[in-house]
Amino acid sequence: MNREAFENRLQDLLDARRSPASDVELVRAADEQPELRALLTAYELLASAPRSVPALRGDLTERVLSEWKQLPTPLRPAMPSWLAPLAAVAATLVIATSIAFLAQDRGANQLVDKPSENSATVAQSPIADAPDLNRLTRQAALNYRSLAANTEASFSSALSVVQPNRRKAATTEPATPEDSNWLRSVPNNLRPLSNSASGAVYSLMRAVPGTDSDKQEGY
Amino acid sequence: MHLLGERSRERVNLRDDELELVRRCLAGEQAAATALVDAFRGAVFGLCYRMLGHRQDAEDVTQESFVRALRSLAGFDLTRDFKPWLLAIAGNRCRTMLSTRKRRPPMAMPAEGVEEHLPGVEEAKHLGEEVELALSQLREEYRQAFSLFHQEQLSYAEIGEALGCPVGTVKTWVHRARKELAAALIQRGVVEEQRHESRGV
Repeated sequence: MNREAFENRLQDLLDARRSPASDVELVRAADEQPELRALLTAYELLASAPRSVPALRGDLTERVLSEWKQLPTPLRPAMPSWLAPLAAVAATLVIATSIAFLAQDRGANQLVDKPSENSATVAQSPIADAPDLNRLTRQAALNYRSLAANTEASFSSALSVVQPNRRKAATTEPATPEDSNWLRSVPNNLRPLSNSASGAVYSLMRAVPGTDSDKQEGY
Repeated sequence: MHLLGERSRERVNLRDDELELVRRCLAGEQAAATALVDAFRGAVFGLCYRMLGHRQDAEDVTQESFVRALRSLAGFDLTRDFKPWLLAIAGNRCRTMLSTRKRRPPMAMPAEGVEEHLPGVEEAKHLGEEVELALSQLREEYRQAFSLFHQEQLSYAEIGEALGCPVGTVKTWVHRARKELAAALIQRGVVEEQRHESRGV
Protein backbone atom coordinates (compact mmCIF):
# COMPACT_ATOMS: atom_id res chain seq x y z
CA MET A 1 0.00 0.00 0.00
CA ASN A 2 1.50 3.35 -1.01
CA ARG A 3 1.34 6.51 1.07
CA GLU A 4 -1.54 8.11 -0.84
CA ALA A 5 -3.78 5.05 -0.62
CA PHE A 6 -2.83 4.66 3.03
CA GLU A 7 -3.76 8.26 3.82
CA ASN A 8 -7.04 8.04 1.88
CA ARG A 9 -7.96 4.97 3.87
CA LEU A 10 -7.17 6.85 7.09
CA GLN A 11 -9.38 9.75 6.03
CA ASP A 12 -12.29 7.42 5.28
CA LEU A 13 -11.98 5.80 8.69
CA LEU A 14 -11.93 9.13 10.49
CA ASP A 15 -14.91 10.32 8.44
CA ALA A 16 -16.81 7.32 9.78
CA ARG A 17 -15.51 8.16 13.29
CA ARG A 18 -13.68 4.89 13.55
CA SER A 19 -10.22 4.35 15.00
CA PRO A 20 -7.45 3.73 12.42
CA ALA A 21 -6.00 1.07 14.70
CA SER A 22 -9.12 -1.01 14.16
CA ASP A 23 -8.25 -1.59 10.49
CA VAL A 24 -6.07 -4.71 10.18
CA GLU A 25 -4.78 -3.91 6.73
CA LEU A 26 -3.64 -0.43 7.75
CA VAL A 27 -1.89 -1.72 10.85
CA ARG A 28 -0.07 -4.35 8.78
CA ALA A 29 1.09 -1.70 6.28
CA ALA A 30 2.21 0.57 9.13
CA ASP A 31 4.24 -2.21 10.65
CA GLU A 32 6.09 -2.66 7.37
CA GLN A 33 6.89 1.01 6.76
CA PRO A 34 7.94 3.44 9.54
CA GLU A 35 6.73 6.41 7.51
CA LEU A 36 3.23 4.98 7.42
CA ARG A 37 3.47 4.11 11.12
CA ALA A 38 4.13 7.79 11.91
CA LEU A 39 1.15 8.80 9.80
CA LEU A 40 -1.09 6.26 11.52
CA THR A 41 -0.06 7.55 14.95
CA ALA A 42 -0.55 11.19 13.92
CA TYR A 43 -4.08 10.56 12.65
CA GLU A 44 -4.95 8.66 15.80
CA LEU A 45 -3.77 11.60 17.87
CA LEU A 46 -5.90 13.99 15.85
CA ALA A 47 -9.00 11.87 16.27
CA SER A 48 -8.49 11.59 20.01
CA ALA A 49 -7.52 15.22 20.59
CA PRO A 50 -9.28 16.47 23.70
CA ARG A 51 -11.96 19.11 23.38
CA SER A 52 -10.58 22.32 24.78
CA VAL A 53 -13.43 24.78 25.01
CA PRO A 54 -13.69 27.04 28.05
CA ALA A 55 -16.68 26.60 30.31
CA LEU A 56 -19.73 28.63 29.44
CA ARG A 57 -21.14 31.03 32.01
CA GLY A 58 -23.95 29.48 33.98
CA ASP A 59 -26.47 32.30 33.60
CA LEU A 60 -26.71 32.07 29.82
CA THR A 61 -30.15 30.44 29.93
CA GLU A 62 -31.51 33.11 32.28
CA ARG A 63 -30.15 35.90 30.09
CA VAL A 64 -31.64 34.35 26.96
CA LEU A 65 -35.03 33.91 28.60
CA SER A 66 -35.11 37.41 30.06
CA GLU A 67 -34.37 38.84 26.63
CA TRP A 68 -36.95 36.55 25.05
CA LYS A 69 -39.61 37.76 27.50
CA GLN A 70 -38.99 41.34 26.42
CA LEU A 71 -40.07 40.54 22.88
CA PRO A 72 -42.63 43.10 21.73
CA THR A 73 -44.96 40.57 20.16
CA PRO A 74 -45.89 37.09 21.36
CA LEU A 75 -44.91 34.09 19.33
CA ARG A 76 -47.52 33.16 16.82
CA PRO A 77 -47.60 31.06 13.67
CA ALA A 78 -46.10 32.84 10.71
CA MET A 79 -48.24 34.27 7.93
CA PRO A 80 -48.88 31.61 5.28
CA SER A 81 -46.15 31.75 2.70
CA TRP A 82 -48.64 31.98 -0.19
CA LEU A 83 -50.43 35.02 1.23
CA ALA A 84 -47.78 37.61 0.40
CA PRO A 85 -47.44 36.62 -3.30
CA LEU A 86 -51.23 36.45 -3.62
CA ALA A 87 -51.62 39.95 -2.21
CA ALA A 88 -48.91 41.23 -4.52
CA VAL A 89 -50.60 39.69 -7.57
CA ALA A 90 -53.99 41.10 -6.56
CA ALA A 91 -52.54 44.58 -6.08
CA THR A 92 -50.81 44.39 -9.45
CA LEU A 93 -54.05 43.35 -11.15
CA VAL A 94 -55.96 46.23 -9.59
CA ILE A 95 -53.32 48.74 -10.63
CA ALA A 96 -53.10 47.31 -14.15
CA THR A 97 -56.89 47.40 -14.57
CA SER A 98 -57.04 50.99 -13.34
CA ILE A 99 -54.30 52.03 -15.73
CA ALA A 100 -56.08 50.28 -18.61
CA PHE A 101 -59.35 52.06 -17.85
CA LEU A 102 -57.65 55.42 -17.53
CA ALA A 103 -55.81 54.91 -20.81
CA GLN A 104 -59.05 53.88 -22.53
CA ASP A 105 -60.88 56.92 -21.18
CA ARG A 106 -58.07 59.27 -22.23
CA GLY A 107 -57.99 57.71 -25.68
CA ALA A 108 -61.72 58.32 -26.16
CA ASN A 109 -61.33 61.96 -25.11
CA GLN A 110 -58.52 62.41 -27.58
CA LEU A 111 -60.73 61.00 -30.35
CA VAL A 112 -63.38 63.61 -29.61
CA ASP A 113 -60.97 66.53 -29.10
CA LYS A 114 -58.68 65.80 -32.01
CA PRO A 115 -60.50 64.10 -34.89
CA SER A 116 -58.42 61.52 -36.61
CA GLU A 117 -59.01 59.12 -39.45
CA ASN A 118 -61.04 56.88 -37.21
CA SER A 119 -62.94 59.68 -35.58
CA ALA A 120 -64.82 60.59 -38.74
CA THR A 121 -67.13 57.66 -38.42
CA VAL A 122 -67.53 58.27 -34.69
CA ALA A 123 -68.36 61.93 -35.18
CA GLN A 124 -70.91 61.15 -37.88
CA SER A 125 -72.62 58.47 -35.89
CA PRO A 126 -76.01 59.21 -34.26
CA ILE A 127 -74.37 58.89 -30.86
CA ALA A 128 -71.93 61.66 -31.60
CA ASP A 129 -74.77 63.94 -32.77
CA ALA A 130 -77.00 63.18 -29.82
CA PRO A 131 -77.54 66.25 -27.60
CA ASP A 132 -76.51 66.27 -24.00
CA LEU A 133 -79.77 65.72 -22.14
CA ASN A 134 -78.44 67.08 -18.89
CA ARG A 135 -77.33 70.29 -20.52
CA LEU A 136 -80.71 70.70 -22.25
CA THR A 137 -82.56 70.11 -19.01
CA ARG A 138 -80.50 72.74 -17.23
CA GLN A 139 -81.06 75.20 -20.07
CA ALA A 140 -84.80 74.55 -20.01
CA ALA A 141 -84.92 75.15 -16.28
CA LEU A 142 -83.10 78.45 -16.69
CA ASN A 143 -85.44 79.51 -19.48
CA TYR A 144 -88.46 78.65 -17.39
CA ARG A 145 -87.16 80.63 -14.43
CA SER A 146 -86.46 83.62 -16.64
CA LEU A 147 -89.91 83.43 -18.19
CA ALA A 148 -91.53 83.26 -14.79
CA ALA A 149 -89.60 86.27 -13.61
CA ASN A 150 -90.58 88.27 -16.68
CA THR A 151 -94.21 87.26 -16.32
CA GLU A 152 -94.26 88.29 -12.68
CA ALA A 153 -92.68 91.58 -13.59
CA SER A 154 -95.28 92.18 -16.26
CA PHE A 155 -98.16 91.45 -13.92
CA SER A 156 -96.65 93.50 -11.18
CA SER A 157 -96.59 96.56 -13.47
CA ALA A 158 -100.24 95.99 -14.31
CA LEU A 159 -101.02 95.71 -10.60
CA SER A 160 -99.07 98.85 -10.03
CA VAL A 161 -101.39 100.62 -12.34
CA VAL A 162 -104.56 99.06 -10.98
CA GLN A 163 -103.67 99.21 -7.30
CA PRO A 164 -104.37 102.91 -6.78
CA ASN A 165 -107.84 102.43 -8.18
CA ARG A 166 -109.15 101.18 -4.91
CA ARG A 167 -112.80 101.73 -5.53
CA LYS A 168 -113.91 102.89 -2.18
CA ALA A 169 -111.05 105.25 -1.71
CA ALA A 170 -111.34 106.42 -5.27
CA THR A 171 -115.01 107.31 -4.95
CA THR A 172 -114.97 108.91 -1.58
CA GLU A 173 -111.68 110.78 -1.46
CA PRO A 174 -109.04 112.04 -3.86
CA ALA A 175 -105.60 110.47 -4.32
CA THR A 176 -103.56 110.92 -1.23
CA PRO A 177 -99.78 111.47 -1.03
CA GLU A 178 -99.44 107.89 0.30
CA ASP A 179 -100.95 106.56 -2.92
CA SER A 180 -98.51 108.59 -4.93
CA ASN A 181 -95.61 107.32 -2.90
CA TRP A 182 -96.79 103.73 -3.35
CA LEU A 183 -96.88 104.25 -7.05
CA ARG A 184 -93.25 105.36 -6.99
CA SER A 185 -92.22 102.13 -5.35
CA VAL A 186 -93.05 99.97 -8.34
CA PRO A 187 -90.44 97.59 -9.63
CA ASN A 188 -87.48 99.09 -11.37
CA ASN A 189 -88.40 97.62 -14.72
CA LEU A 190 -91.48 99.82 -14.81
CA ARG A 191 -91.48 103.33 -15.92
CA PRO A 192 -91.81 105.54 -12.84
CA LEU A 193 -95.12 107.32 -12.52
CA SER A 194 -95.32 110.95 -11.71
CA ASN A 195 -98.01 112.60 -9.63
CA SER A 196 -99.54 114.04 -12.72
CA ALA A 197 -99.76 110.67 -14.36
CA SER A 198 -101.38 109.15 -11.30
CA GLY A 199 -103.82 112.02 -11.33
CA ALA A 200 -104.60 111.37 -14.99
CA VAL A 201 -105.30 107.74 -14.27
CA TYR A 202 -107.55 108.73 -11.41
CA SER A 203 -109.56 111.05 -13.68
CA LEU A 204 -109.82 108.38 -16.31
CA MET A 205 -111.17 105.91 -13.82
CA ARG A 206 -113.84 108.34 -12.73
CA ALA A 207 -114.86 108.96 -16.33
CA VAL A 208 -115.46 105.32 -17.17
CA PRO A 209 -119.11 104.30 -16.54
CA GLY A 210 -119.48 101.80 -13.78
CA THR A 211 -121.30 98.50 -13.73
CA ASP A 212 -124.43 97.69 -11.77
CA SER A 213 -122.48 96.64 -8.78
CA ASP A 214 -120.55 99.87 -9.04
CA LYS A 215 -123.78 101.75 -8.99
CA GLN A 216 -124.93 99.84 -5.96
CA GLU A 217 -121.77 100.89 -4.24
CA GLY A 218 -122.41 104.48 -5.10
CA TYR A 219 -120.30 105.01 -8.18
CA MET B 1 -27.06 -3.43 11.30
CA HIS B 2 -28.55 -3.87 14.70
CA LEU B 3 -26.41 -1.02 16.05
CA LEU B 4 -27.46 1.21 13.17
CA GLY B 5 -31.10 0.45 13.85
CA GLU B 6 -30.70 1.37 17.51
CA ARG B 7 -29.03 4.65 16.59
CA SER B 8 -31.73 5.44 14.07
CA ARG B 9 -34.43 4.85 16.68
CA GLU B 10 -32.54 7.03 19.17
CA ARG B 11 -32.28 9.76 16.56
CA VAL B 12 -36.00 9.58 15.85
CA ASN B 13 -36.79 9.75 19.57
CA LEU B 14 -34.41 12.69 20.00
CA ARG B 15 -36.00 14.46 17.08
CA ASP B 16 -39.47 13.88 18.52
CA ASP B 17 -38.31 15.33 21.82
CA GLU B 18 -36.88 18.38 20.08
CA LEU B 19 -40.06 18.94 18.13
CA GLU B 20 -42.13 18.60 21.26
CA LEU B 21 -39.98 21.26 22.92
CA VAL B 22 -40.36 23.51 19.90
CA ARG B 23 -44.15 23.11 19.95
CA ARG B 24 -44.29 23.93 23.64
CA CYS B 25 -42.09 26.97 23.09
CA LEU B 26 -44.46 28.15 20.39
CA ALA B 27 -47.27 27.83 22.90
CA GLY B 28 -45.31 30.25 25.10
CA GLU B 29 -44.20 27.70 27.70
CA GLN B 30 -41.13 29.07 29.44
CA ALA B 31 -40.01 25.72 30.84
CA ALA B 32 -39.77 24.37 27.29
CA ALA B 33 -37.64 27.33 26.23
CA THR B 34 -35.35 26.70 29.18
CA ALA B 35 -35.02 23.03 28.25
CA LEU B 36 -34.33 23.92 24.62
CA VAL B 37 -31.55 26.35 25.53
CA ASP B 38 -30.03 23.91 28.02
CA ALA B 39 -30.09 21.11 25.46
CA PHE B 40 -28.18 23.01 22.78
CA ARG B 41 -26.14 25.63 24.62
CA GLY B 42 -22.98 23.48 24.56
CA ALA B 43 -23.19 22.85 20.82
CA VAL B 44 -23.92 26.46 19.97
CA PHE B 45 -21.22 27.82 22.25
CA GLY B 46 -18.72 25.29 20.89
CA LEU B 47 -19.49 26.37 17.33
CA CYS B 48 -19.21 30.05 18.20
CA TYR B 49 -15.99 29.53 20.11
CA ARG B 50 -14.47 27.53 17.27
CA MET B 51 -15.46 30.12 14.71
CA LEU B 52 -14.63 33.24 16.69
CA GLY B 53 -11.76 32.02 18.84
CA HIS B 54 -12.79 34.38 21.58
CA ARG B 55 -14.70 33.41 24.69
CA GLN B 56 -16.55 36.65 25.39
CA ASP B 57 -17.58 37.12 21.77
CA ALA B 58 -18.64 33.48 21.62
CA GLU B 59 -20.84 33.93 24.69
CA ASP B 60 -22.45 37.06 23.30
CA VAL B 61 -23.14 35.44 19.95
CA THR B 62 -24.47 32.30 21.64
CA GLN B 63 -26.99 34.38 23.59
CA GLU B 64 -27.94 36.37 20.51
CA SER B 65 -28.35 33.19 18.49
CA PHE B 66 -30.73 31.63 20.99
CA VAL B 67 -32.82 34.80 21.22
CA ARG B 68 -33.02 34.99 17.45
CA ALA B 69 -33.93 31.33 17.22
CA LEU B 70 -36.72 31.67 19.79
CA ARG B 71 -37.98 34.77 18.02
CA SER B 72 -38.00 33.00 14.64
CA LEU B 73 -39.35 29.74 15.97
CA ALA B 74 -42.75 30.31 14.36
CA GLY B 75 -41.07 30.15 10.96
CA PHE B 76 -39.24 26.89 11.71
CA ASP B 77 -40.16 24.03 9.40
CA LEU B 78 -41.23 21.23 11.72
CA THR B 79 -40.28 18.62 9.13
CA ARG B 80 -36.60 19.58 9.50
CA ASP B 81 -34.12 18.86 12.27
CA PHE B 82 -33.85 21.58 14.84
CA LYS B 83 -30.13 21.41 15.56
CA PRO B 84 -28.84 22.22 12.04
CA TRP B 85 -31.33 25.09 11.85
CA LEU B 86 -30.10 26.47 15.17
CA LEU B 87 -26.45 26.02 14.20
CA ALA B 88 -27.09 27.80 10.91
CA ILE B 89 -28.42 30.80 12.83
CA ALA B 90 -25.37 30.73 15.10
CA GLY B 91 -23.04 30.38 12.10
CA ASN B 92 -24.64 33.40 10.44
CA ARG B 93 -24.21 35.46 13.59
CA CYS B 94 -20.57 34.38 13.85
CA ARG B 95 -19.87 35.38 10.26
CA THR B 96 -21.49 38.76 10.90
CA MET B 97 -19.32 39.18 13.99
CA LEU B 98 -16.21 38.22 12.03
CA SER B 99 -16.99 40.72 9.26
CA THR B 100 -17.56 43.44 11.89
CA ARG B 101 -14.24 42.58 13.45
CA LYS B 102 -12.48 43.00 10.11
CA ARG B 103 -13.95 46.47 9.72
CA ARG B 104 -13.18 47.76 13.19
CA PRO B 105 -9.62 48.53 14.35
CA PRO B 106 -7.81 45.75 16.20
CA MET B 107 -8.33 45.75 19.93
CA ALA B 108 -6.36 44.27 22.77
CA MET B 109 -7.21 40.60 23.34
CA PRO B 110 -9.04 40.00 26.62
CA ALA B 111 -7.65 37.84 29.35
CA GLU B 112 -9.72 34.81 28.34
CA GLY B 113 -9.03 34.87 24.62
CA VAL B 114 -8.27 31.69 22.73
CA GLU B 115 -4.62 32.69 22.54
CA GLU B 116 -4.39 32.14 26.24
CA HIS B 117 -5.24 28.50 25.67
CA LEU B 118 -2.65 28.17 22.94
CA PRO B 119 0.73 27.72 24.58
CA GLY B 120 4.08 28.68 23.10
CA VAL B 121 6.42 26.12 21.54
CA GLU B 122 8.39 25.59 24.73
CA GLU B 123 5.28 25.17 26.84
CA ALA B 124 3.62 22.63 24.59
CA LYS B 125 3.75 19.57 26.76
CA HIS B 126 0.44 17.91 26.33
CA LEU B 127 -1.16 16.47 23.29
CA GLY B 128 -4.19 18.75 23.39
CA GLU B 129 -1.99 21.80 23.54
CA GLU B 130 0.09 20.51 20.65
CA VAL B 131 -2.98 19.97 18.54
CA GLU B 132 -4.30 23.43 19.42
CA LEU B 133 -0.98 24.97 18.46
CA ALA B 134 -0.99 23.15 15.14
CA LEU B 135 -4.59 24.17 14.58
CA SER B 136 -3.75 27.82 15.06
CA GLN B 137 -1.37 27.59 12.09
CA LEU B 138 -4.12 26.40 9.73
CA ARG B 139 -6.27 28.43 7.41
CA GLU B 140 -9.41 29.66 9.15
CA GLU B 141 -11.79 27.48 7.11
CA TYR B 142 -9.73 24.34 7.72
CA ARG B 143 -9.48 25.06 11.43
CA GLN B 144 -13.20 25.68 11.81
CA ALA B 145 -14.20 22.61 9.82
CA PHE B 146 -11.78 20.32 11.64
CA SER B 147 -12.76 21.60 15.09
CA LEU B 148 -16.45 21.30 14.42
CA PHE B 149 -16.08 17.76 13.11
CA HIS B 150 -13.63 16.28 15.61
CA GLN B 151 -14.01 18.41 18.70
CA GLU B 152 -17.70 19.38 18.51
CA GLN B 153 -18.69 16.07 16.91
CA LEU B 154 -20.89 17.73 14.28
CA SER B 155 -21.70 15.91 11.07
CA TYR B 156 -20.57 17.22 7.71
CA ALA B 157 -24.13 18.28 6.91
CA GLU B 158 -24.43 20.22 10.17
CA ILE B 159 -21.08 21.92 9.56
CA GLY B 160 -22.20 22.80 6.05
CA GLU B 161 -25.34 24.43 7.45
CA ALA B 162 -23.37 26.33 10.07
CA LEU B 163 -20.65 27.55 7.75
CA GLY B 164 -23.00 28.12 4.85
CA CYS B 165 -21.17 25.97 2.33
CA PRO B 166 -21.69 22.60 0.58
CA VAL B 167 -20.95 19.31 2.32
CA GLY B 168 -18.29 18.44 -0.25
CA THR B 169 -16.41 21.63 0.52
CA VAL B 170 -16.54 20.90 4.25
CA LYS B 171 -15.22 17.41 3.67
CA THR B 172 -12.34 18.74 1.59
CA TRP B 173 -11.48 21.28 4.28
CA VAL B 174 -11.47 18.61 7.00
CA HIS B 175 -9.27 16.28 4.93
CA ARG B 176 -6.75 19.04 4.20
CA ALA B 177 -6.75 20.07 7.84
CA ARG B 178 -5.97 16.50 8.93
CA LYS B 179 -3.18 16.22 6.41
CA GLU B 180 -1.53 19.48 7.47
CA LEU B 181 -2.02 18.74 11.16
CA ALA B 182 -0.51 15.26 10.85
CA ALA B 183 2.47 16.69 9.02
CA ALA B 184 2.88 19.37 11.70
CA LEU B 185 2.70 16.84 14.54
CA ILE B 186 5.26 14.60 12.84
CA GLN B 187 7.53 17.55 12.16
CA ARG B 188 7.40 18.71 15.79
CA GLY B 189 8.24 15.24 17.05
CA VAL B 190 4.96 14.84 18.88
CA VAL B 191 4.29 11.54 17.15
CA GLU B 192 7.64 10.14 18.15
CA GLU B 193 7.06 11.22 21.76
CA GLN B 194 3.71 9.50 21.81
CA ARG B 195 5.20 6.29 20.42
CA HIS B 196 7.88 6.30 23.11
CA GLU B 197 5.27 6.92 25.78
CA SER B 198 3.21 4.04 24.43
CA ARG B 199 6.18 1.73 24.51
CA GLY B 200 6.97 2.84 28.03
CA VAL B 201 3.45 2.01 29.12
